[in-house]
Amino acid sequence: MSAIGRRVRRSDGDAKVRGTAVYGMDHTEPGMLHAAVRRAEVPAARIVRVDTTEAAAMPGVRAVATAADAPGRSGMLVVKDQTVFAAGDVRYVASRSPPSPPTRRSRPRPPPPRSGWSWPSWNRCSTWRRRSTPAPGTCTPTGRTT
Amino acid sequence: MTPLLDVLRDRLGLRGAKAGCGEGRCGACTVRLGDRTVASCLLPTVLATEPVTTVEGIAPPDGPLHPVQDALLEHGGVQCGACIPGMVVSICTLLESDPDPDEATVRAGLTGNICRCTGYQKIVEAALAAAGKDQP
Ligand code: FES
Ligand code: FES
Repeated sequence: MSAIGRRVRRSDGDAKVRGTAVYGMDHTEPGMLHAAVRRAEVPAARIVRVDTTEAAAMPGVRAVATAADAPGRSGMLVVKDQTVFAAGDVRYVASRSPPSPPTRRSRPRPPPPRSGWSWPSWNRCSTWRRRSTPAPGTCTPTGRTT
Repeated sequence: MTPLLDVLRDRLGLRGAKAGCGEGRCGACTVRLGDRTVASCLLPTVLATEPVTTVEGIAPPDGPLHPVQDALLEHGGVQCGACIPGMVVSICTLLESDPDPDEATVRAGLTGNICRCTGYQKIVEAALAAAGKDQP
């Protein structure tokens, strides 16, 4: 008997409609560790320092990971600039009216060059060129406008 | 405040409801509370004062599928399936309050459930079929 030309149900469908299909997020195993993400409390900021000592000292905590542990870019295609953790700047906010970065005119002059200084990353972001209000759905340094 | 979804998934091991977004946008975490549906990712557990039904409670584990589940499979309304637990709960709840819905009612009833795979049409067809309104 052939399935060709017949209407067949998908083989994994029963588990999916019952809610018993196991996806990555549903997988558990003994001794599994759990991760929790600490998010910035402000929409845009420069990260000067991340103090993890208190978190690391909490009972049961095995590890605290920061941007230093995940160098490089995690994204691809339209988000190829994306890092795993906020690195350098907090700029991962999506809001209806994104906080506008300074325009060219009001942008502060660079301070006298000193080693280690760089523009905040939204100034380097190739997608941030326009000065007018971005169209809905546009990728901006502060997220996607709605 | 622990959301109901965390209690269901992490404490009770009921992982049918999914944490799709965790902020009330996707409906993958939809469960029934009393006779209405709620986004369990947003509902503080202390406010779950009525009986909760998850997708696991729609059909007996070893028994036959609920007509809504059956129709979803028959009409090809399931792809990745991430939205399906929420869809099943929403459709069942909708059909209980309105056993004879038209297409617009079904679509309105599913506005809280996002599906990134199917384009909704087959899910809507399945819901109508489960209500006994099979279209040619
Ligand atoms: S996880 Fe609750 S609505 Fe998306
Ligand atoms: S089947 Fe994949 S999200 Fe609906």
